[in-house]
Amino acid sequence: MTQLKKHLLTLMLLLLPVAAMSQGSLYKQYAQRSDLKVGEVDGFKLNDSVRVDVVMLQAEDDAAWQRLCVEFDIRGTQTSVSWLASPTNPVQRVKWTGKPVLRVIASHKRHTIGIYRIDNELQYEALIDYQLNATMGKNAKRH
Amino acid sequence: MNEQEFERLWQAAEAENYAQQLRDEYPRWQARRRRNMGVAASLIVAVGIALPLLHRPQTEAPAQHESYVTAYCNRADMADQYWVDLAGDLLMET
Repeated sequence: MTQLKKHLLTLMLLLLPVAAMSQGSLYKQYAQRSDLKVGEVDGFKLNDSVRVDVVMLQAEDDAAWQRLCVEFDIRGTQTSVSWLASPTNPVQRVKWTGKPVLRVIASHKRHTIGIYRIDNELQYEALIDYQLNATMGKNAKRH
Repeated sequence: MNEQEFERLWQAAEAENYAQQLRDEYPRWQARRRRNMGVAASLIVAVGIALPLLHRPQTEAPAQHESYVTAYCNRADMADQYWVDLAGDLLMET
C-alpha cells in the first residue's frame, strides 16, 4: 500500500505543472473582481499568419465602468479611446518603439476595455491592418 | 533425554516452525509482489501516455480557419464566442 501511495504521489507531482494552466497575468490580476466580467482570448486571428492575445474587462454596471475609467485614467466621453501601454501596466501610456507593448482600447458604449498584447512589429502592423480593413468594410456596407 | 539432546530437538523444532511459516507466507508475498508490480507498470504506462499528450508544445499551429486558439473568462455562463466577437468589435470601433 505504501508503494501505491508513493507511485500516486509521483504521478501527482508530474502532472501538477499541467494543472496550473497558463492564464495570463493580466487576466489573473482582474479575474477576482466581482464588478467586472473578465475574458481572455488567446491567439485571436488578425490574418492568416498573425495572432494576438487579448484580455477584456467589461464593467457590470455604470458605477463599475466609472471606477474602471478612473483606474485607467480615461477622460472625455468619446465613443472609444485607445493608447499603447507598458507591457506590464496597461494604465501607463507609452510610445511605439518596436518593443512589446499593450494596445488598449476603451469603449464607453460597451463599457469594455480591450487589452491586446503586441510582442513584435508584425503583430503591431497586422492589428492596424485589421482595424483599417474592418473600418473600410463597415463603411462600404453603409454606402 | 539429557540437556544436549533436548537442545538439539528444540532447535530442530524451531527450524521446522520457521520453514512452515515461510511455506505459508510465500504465496501471499508472491501475490503482493505481483499486485505491486502491476500497479507500478500501470502507472508507468499511464504517465508515459499522459505526459506527452499534456505537455505538447503550445506553439503548435492552430487550424487556419479558427478565429482563436483558446478563450476563458471569470464567469461560468459566458460563451467563448462572446469574447472572440467582442475582441473583433472593439478593434472596429476605433
